[in-house]
Amino acid sequence: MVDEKGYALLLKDIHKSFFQNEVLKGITFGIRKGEVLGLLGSNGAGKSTLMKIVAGVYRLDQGHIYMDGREVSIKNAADASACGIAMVYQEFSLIPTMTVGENLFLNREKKKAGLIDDKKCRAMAKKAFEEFGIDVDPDEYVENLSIGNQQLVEIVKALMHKPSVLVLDEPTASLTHKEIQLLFAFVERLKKQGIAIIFISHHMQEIIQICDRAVVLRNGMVEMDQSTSGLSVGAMVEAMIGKKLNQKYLQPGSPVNYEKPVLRVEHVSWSDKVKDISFEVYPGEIVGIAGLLGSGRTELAKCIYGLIKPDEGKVFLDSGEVPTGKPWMSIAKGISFVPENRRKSGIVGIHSIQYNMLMPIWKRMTKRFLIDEKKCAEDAEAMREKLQLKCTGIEQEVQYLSGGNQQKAVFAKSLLIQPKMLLLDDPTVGIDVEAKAAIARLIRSIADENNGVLLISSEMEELERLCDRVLILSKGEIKKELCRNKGDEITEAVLAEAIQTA
Amino acid sequence: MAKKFDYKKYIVYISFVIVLVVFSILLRDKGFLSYGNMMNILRQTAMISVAAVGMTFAISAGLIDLSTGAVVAISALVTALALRVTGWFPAVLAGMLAGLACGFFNGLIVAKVRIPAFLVTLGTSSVYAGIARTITNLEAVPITNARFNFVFGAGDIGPISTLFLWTIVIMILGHILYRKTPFGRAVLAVGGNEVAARYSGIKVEKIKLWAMTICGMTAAFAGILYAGRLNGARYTLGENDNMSVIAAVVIGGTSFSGGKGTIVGTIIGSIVIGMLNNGLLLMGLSVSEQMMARGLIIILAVSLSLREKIEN
Repeated sequence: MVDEKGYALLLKDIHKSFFQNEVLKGITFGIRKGEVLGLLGSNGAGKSTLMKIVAGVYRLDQGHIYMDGREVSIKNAADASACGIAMVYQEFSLIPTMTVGENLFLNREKKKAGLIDDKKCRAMAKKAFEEFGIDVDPDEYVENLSIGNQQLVEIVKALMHKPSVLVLDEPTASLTHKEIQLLFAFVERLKKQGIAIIFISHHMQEIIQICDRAVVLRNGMVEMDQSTSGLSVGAMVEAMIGKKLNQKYLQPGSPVNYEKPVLRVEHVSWSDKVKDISFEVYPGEIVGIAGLLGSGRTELAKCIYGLIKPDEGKVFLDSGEVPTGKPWMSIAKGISFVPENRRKSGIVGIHSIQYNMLMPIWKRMTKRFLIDEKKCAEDAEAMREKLQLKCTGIEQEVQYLSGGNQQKAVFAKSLLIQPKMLLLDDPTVGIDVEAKAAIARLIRSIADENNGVLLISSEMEELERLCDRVLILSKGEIKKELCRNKGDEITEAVLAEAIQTA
Repeated sequence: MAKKFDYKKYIVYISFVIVLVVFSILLRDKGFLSYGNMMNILRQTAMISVAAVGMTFAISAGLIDLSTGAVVAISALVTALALRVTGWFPAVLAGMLAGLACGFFNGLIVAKVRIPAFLVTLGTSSVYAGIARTITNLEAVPITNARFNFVFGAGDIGPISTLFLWTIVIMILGHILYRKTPFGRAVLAVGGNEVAARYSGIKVEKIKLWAMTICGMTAAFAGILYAGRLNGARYTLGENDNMSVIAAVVIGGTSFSGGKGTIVGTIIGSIVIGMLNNGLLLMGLSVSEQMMARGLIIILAVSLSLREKIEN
C-alpha cells in the first residue's frame, strides 16, 4: 500500500461504473510536489473519467483521494478548486473578444467602490505574467494571440487560484514545435515552484521529454507506473495497447504506376500562402506534405479541393480539368477531402452517422427524386462495417462517438464519394494509437485500390509509415522532394531535419 | 449518469395533451371539446400551420424569418386585387409569386451579402409591411369570388373545413421535401454545421436562398387562406402571427439553432398555439389579457423545448 504522506495528490483504489460498465477498476497512483506526471491511455482506457473525478465533474463510486496526506471529498468543481486542483482542458475557456487581463479576472474582478478597478486588474495581470516569464500583453485581445500564447494564458488563468495540482489535458495538441518548447520551459518553471503537474498527451516523445514519471492506463487499470528515464516509446505503446505495434513503413500492395498521374496541380498560387505550386500524384501513391503550421499546407489542399479559389493555376484529375473554387465539382469529379478539424469542419455532431456519411452525395441516393432510404442504410452500414466503426448503430449521433470513431465517420463520408483522389489534412490528430494504426492501414488500402492520396501531417512517424513520396513545404513553396523510389530515405529523423532546414 | 427520459423529444405531444386537458377542464361548460369548436380551432390555426411549415425550413437551416406576417398581408392583398380582374387560379398564382419574391429577396441578402437572417428580415418586415399598406392605401379589399372563398377558406367538404385539408396538403408536401429529398437533407446539414456542409460540397448559399424563399411562399399561401376565410384582405392580416409561427416551430421540436426538426411536430405545435388562442378567448379574457397570457404560456412552452442541458 502506498503511504498517503509525501504526495501532493494520491488516488487510492478509485472505482467508477457507468450503468453496468466498470470504467475504472481500482486506480492507485500518486504525484509528488514538483513532479510532472505523464498520463497515457487509449480512448476508453479511463483517462478522462479519472480526470473528471479529480476535477469534480463525476463522483467516484469507491476509493479515496488524498491531498497532501489528508483525505478530501470532491463533490463538485468548486470542491476541486478549493482543494487546490486546477484543470486546463483541451477546449479553451477564454473569451476571444475580451482582453487577456479581463479573461484572467473574469468573475473575480478587483473592485473599487463596487466598480471594476481596471487599473489594479491590469497591474496584477502584468505581474502574474512577469512572474511566470511570459511575454504577453495583458491588454491584448485573446483572439489576436497565437494558439500557443492562448494556451499559456489559459494555464496562467488556472494558476490564479494558486493550485497545488495542475492538470493539463493534451496541451500540445494544437501547438507548433516552437510553442511546445515554450510551454515546456513554462512547465519546468512551475515544477520548480513545487506545483505537481499531470500532463495528458498522445505524444510519447513529449512525455519522455517533459515528464518525470509515466502512468499508463489500460481498461481502467494502471498498466505502467515508472520513471521516464530510460523509458522507450515502444514500451509505452506496448503498455497502452498490450501488443507490439509495427510503426514502420507500410508497403504498397503493388508498385506505384508512374505512367499517368491521377492528380496534376499546375502553378497554383493563392494570396501569399501558396506560391506557384506544381506537382503530380500517381495511382496507388501516397504523397505526403510535410511542413509546419503556416507553411501553406492546409491552404494548398483547400485550393485543390475548391474551398479556396486560387488566384492562378489549374487542377487536373485523370487529365480532365477540375474547375477551381467549387467543392461540389471536385466531389463530382472524384476528389474528396478530410479536413484537419473534424468537429468544426468534418461532422455535424447532432446528426446520425448515416446522415454524416451521405452528406456530400444525397443527390446520388435518390430514386425518382426521393431519397432511397433502403439504399442509404445499406451503403452506410456497408461502409461502417468496412471501417470497423464502433457504434450502437448507424442511427447514433456522431457527437457521442469517440474521437477515433468520429474520424472514421469522416473517412466514411469521403470514401462514399468514391474518390480517385483523397486529400487528408492531419487525419489522426487527437486520436489514440490503436485508431491511428487502423486509419493508417485504411489509407494504405485506399491507395492500393489505384487511387491517389495526398497526406498532410504534422506527425513525422505517420509520414514515415505511409508515404511513398514526401514534399517538404515551407512558406508556401515546395522546398524539397523525397522519394523512396529514387532511393531517398523517409524517416522521422530525415523529415524533421528537412522541415527545420527548409 | 443515468440516461433520463428524454422528454424534450416528446415535448410537443406533452404540451398538446396538457393544453387540451387543462382547457377541457377549465372550459367544460363552454364547449371547448365540442366538434364545432375543435374544427374551429383547426380552421383558425390553418394559417399559422401553413406559414410554420416554411418557417421550419428556415429555422432548420439556422435562419429565421421575421417578415412572415408582412408577407401574409402582401400576398392576401395581391390575391384579392387580382380576383377583381381574373379567376381564382391566376389570382392565387399572383399571390404566391408575391410571396416568392419577398422570400427570394430575403434569401438573396442573407446568402449573398451574408448578413444574419434575423437582421435582414427585421428590416424587410418593415419594408414589406409598408408595401402592404401602400398597395391599397390602407383600404380593405373584399372578395366576391364564391369559388375562391369556398376552396381557400370558408368552405367545408362534408364535416371537414377546407382550411384543414389545405393544412394537411401543405404538411405532406413539406414533410416530403424536408425528410425525403436531397434538398431537405442539405437544409439540415447547413443548419447542423455550416462549415462541415460547405466542406461536404453542399452549396450553402443556394440552400439558404431556397429555405428563405420557401418560407416566403408558405407565408404567401397562409395569406391566401386568410383572404379566403375572411372573404377579403387587409394590410393588418398576419400582423400578430410572426410570434405564433416561430413559437409553433420551436414547440414542435425544431432546434432553434438549426439542424433538427420535424414538419409533423410543427403542425402539432401550431395546433397547441391555436388551442391556446381559442381557449383564452373562451375563458372570457380581454384582448390585452389574452396577449399577456399567450406570451407567458409561449415562453413557458418554448423554454421546456429549448432548455439545453447544462453540462461540461
